[in-house]
Amino acid sequence: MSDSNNLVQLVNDLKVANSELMEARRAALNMMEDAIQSKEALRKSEEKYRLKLEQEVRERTTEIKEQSHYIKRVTETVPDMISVTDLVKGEFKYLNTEVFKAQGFDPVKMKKNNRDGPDKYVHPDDRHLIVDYFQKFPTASDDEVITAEYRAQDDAGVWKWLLVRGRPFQRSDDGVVTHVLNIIENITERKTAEQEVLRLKDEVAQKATDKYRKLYNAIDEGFCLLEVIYNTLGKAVDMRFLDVNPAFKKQTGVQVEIGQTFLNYHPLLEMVTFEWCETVVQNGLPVRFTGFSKAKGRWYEYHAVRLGNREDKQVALLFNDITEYKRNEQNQEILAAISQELITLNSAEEIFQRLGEKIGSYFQVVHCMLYELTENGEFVSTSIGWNAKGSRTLFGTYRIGDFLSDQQLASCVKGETVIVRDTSIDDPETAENFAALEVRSFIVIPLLRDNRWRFLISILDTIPRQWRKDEINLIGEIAHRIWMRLERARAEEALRISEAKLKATMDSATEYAIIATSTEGIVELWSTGAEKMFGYTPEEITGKSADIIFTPEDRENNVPFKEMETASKTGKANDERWHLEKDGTRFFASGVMAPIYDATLTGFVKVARDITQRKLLEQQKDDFIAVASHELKTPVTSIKAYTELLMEILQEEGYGDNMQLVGKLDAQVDRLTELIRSLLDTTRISEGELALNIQEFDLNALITERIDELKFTSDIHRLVFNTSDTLHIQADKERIGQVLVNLISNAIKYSPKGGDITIAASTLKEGVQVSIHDTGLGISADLINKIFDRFYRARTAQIETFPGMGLGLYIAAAIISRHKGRLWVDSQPKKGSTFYFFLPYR
Amino acid sequence: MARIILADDDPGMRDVFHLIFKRAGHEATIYANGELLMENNYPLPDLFILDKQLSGINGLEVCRFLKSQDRSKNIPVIIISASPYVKQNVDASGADDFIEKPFKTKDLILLLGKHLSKNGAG
Repeated sequence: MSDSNNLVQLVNDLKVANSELMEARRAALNMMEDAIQSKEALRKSEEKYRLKLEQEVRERTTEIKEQSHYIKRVTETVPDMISVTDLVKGEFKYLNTEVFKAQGFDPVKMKKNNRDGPDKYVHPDDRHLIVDYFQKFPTASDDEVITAEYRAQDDAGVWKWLLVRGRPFQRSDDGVVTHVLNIIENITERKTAEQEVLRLKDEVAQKATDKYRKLYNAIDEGFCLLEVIYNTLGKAVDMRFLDVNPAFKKQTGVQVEIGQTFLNYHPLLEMVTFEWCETVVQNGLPVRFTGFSKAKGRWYEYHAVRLGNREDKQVALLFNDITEYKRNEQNQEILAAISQELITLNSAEEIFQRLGEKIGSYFQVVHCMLYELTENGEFVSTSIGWNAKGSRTLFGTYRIGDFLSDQQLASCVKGETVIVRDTSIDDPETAENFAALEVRSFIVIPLLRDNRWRFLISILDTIPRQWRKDEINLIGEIAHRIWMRLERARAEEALRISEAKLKATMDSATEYAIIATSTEGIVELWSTGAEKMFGYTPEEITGKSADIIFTPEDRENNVPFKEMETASKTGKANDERWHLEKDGTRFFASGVMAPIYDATLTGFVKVARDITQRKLLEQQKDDFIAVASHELKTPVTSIKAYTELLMEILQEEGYGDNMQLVGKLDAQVDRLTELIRSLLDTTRISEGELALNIQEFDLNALITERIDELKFTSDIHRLVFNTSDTLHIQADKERIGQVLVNLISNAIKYSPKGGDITIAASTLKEGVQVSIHDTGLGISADLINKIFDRFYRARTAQIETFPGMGLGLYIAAAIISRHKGRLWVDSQPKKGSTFYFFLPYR
Repeated sequence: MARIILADDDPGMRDVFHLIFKRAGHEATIYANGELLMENNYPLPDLFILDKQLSGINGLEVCRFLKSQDRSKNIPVIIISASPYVKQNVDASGADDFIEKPFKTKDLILLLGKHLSKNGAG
């Protein structure tokens, strides 16, 4: 650049020198003219002036020559090519030939070329630049620098990039530039570098593009690059495809040609609006939106992004087919809406009146029907359903075999959905029947109750339908929900009737109090009987604790809670206890409490009966027995003492022969004693007062002891008990002895013909078992369960009544029961009985 | 020979006890009720026998009184009762032993012997 400035300075110097030279010439010419005009003067001074002039010209010429040489020397030392072009003649006036040569351009050839046709060495594509370059000079000012970059071929045929800077150099008299000074710089290296950079840039861009192209080609989403086309008013009117990926066709079904516009592809117009794309171009914000294509019957999601600047007017558009998702969403919506409505609908009529059309239009069918099967399963009939306006109705009764094949019927029986896409190709026999109803396709959902096919819901259409999987699932689900609702309504109705019946039953059972409580014992239900028994009205007691019907003592002892606890633990709580009426009166009631379960414990129900009268009678009876037997004991004690004294006295005084009589008297007194004890025991059992005195003892020894006491009571029986071992148990020794005596006495008593009474005791895993076997009368099957009852005594027509009050077995069973054991009997009439009792280890 | 005081409101029982004690060689004072025993103005015996169910004050109360008095607290008291729960009652009253009606004469004599020998009498 500094070289160029130097050159410009040099050029200025040259110009000054040149104009001085011209001035000198003009002065010389003027002087010559003056000389001619005054020959005389001329002649005189001619010689003098000529000499002076010649001298001057010589000096000037030398000076110019020196200057020219100087210029030449300077111009040849700069690296740039310098030339002066004569615009009029179209030829070079000056070339710094050495520099041209060094740059590979032969000045001679160039001068020649220039004459033959200007700038032949210039690249054809750039020639216009050179033409333009020179055309700018004639009117250019002196300070103006005009440039051009162009390619030129050197003598070796190598193309070089040149930068020419030109300035006006000489003007004609009228001021028009006639000569131009050109300074030509070889910028090939810079240009090459620039181009290399551009090439690299392109390469990188290409690589990136390739990468993205791969991505675009690989994605499932349809991609297209669009250029928005505006009309003269600046309104978007169309869009041109700049690029599309393969998925675009798959997604949209449209094969697009690059360069074509949207208006050529009608189906696309339905999905995308220019306004959207224009907005994206204008504000640069990406937009996501969904659209439905009626032509395709599918939903799309679009994602539009601006590429580049607003001025680029480019939009990248991503298409995604979201039909499945959208359908699913819509299916869920309609299902939710239907479920919501179902809540308030109670009958099939209501449901189909309200929902039939909704379902029908959602599926775009003509009928939505509910049919009921007849008892025998041969017919279906209905008056419930929805038939689209203008279509025939499908109410009435139909023979089901006329419409469904055996296989389809078998599916229905199993509860499986039947799907028919086209009745005319499904079954030739039924096709005709369907044709009569104008039905070409349908779905049947059978509805089962207790595993029996009872109803069906069907959607039917007049045209063949390719039922989609989601449609089949959806109608199945809808039918299921409708059915659930109907079944629930039915159950509710049944429950209502049952509740009404229950209430009627409860209210009529005035002898019983029926009370239902919560798990906390709060009264929820209070029957008429309860009102009568306790004196509280349902209004008074509902919502309050049932504790107030218990006596204060029972409340103190937490009896109400314990009762609920027992009921929930064992499933039942029996109790007989005193209760309180509202007015404070006490009465005795027998009740049962049971837990109520509905998956979990929800409360309790208690049924009670006033048994005060019975209780009082029993109490009186037991009191009587207790007092009577108690009072009997004293005289019996006296009698026994007298008898014993009598025996002693007779013995002492030698009346031993009469001893037997007194002995019999003593035995009878003992029997009487035993009877009194039994009576007392009985009352104690009924009072729950039979207390045990548990101790460890040898059971075998006890059995032997009791046998020894009893073996003299009969001459015709043999008591057999073979053991030498000890058998220690924990029990009430006296009471177990009492049981043994009772069972052995019975065995003797009920074997009137005598025989062996075999007694055995054995150790089992969980306790001991004792058996008493006789070969006597036995017990008939119808009596065997009664012998343990209080006051029961075996009486048969064949046998005489036996002494005793029939309390023995009752007491024995109670004693064993108090030991948590068991007493039972195996018996065959006329063959004998075996009584067993089992006592668990403690 | 021991001195025994007995209280029983049943004439039959009183008669029988009289015979039994006589045959056993004991000297018995027999009362028809317990009121007299609540007054400390009688000579103390070697042993008391009280029927539980005396008319008027019952035997257990008499027993409690005797056991509360310094002069009588160390003299054995045997309660006679027809009740099967006599043992519990007796324990509460501080009586030394009991016998349930009806009993064998032999058992009564044995029981007397047991308590009399314990106190060095009889």
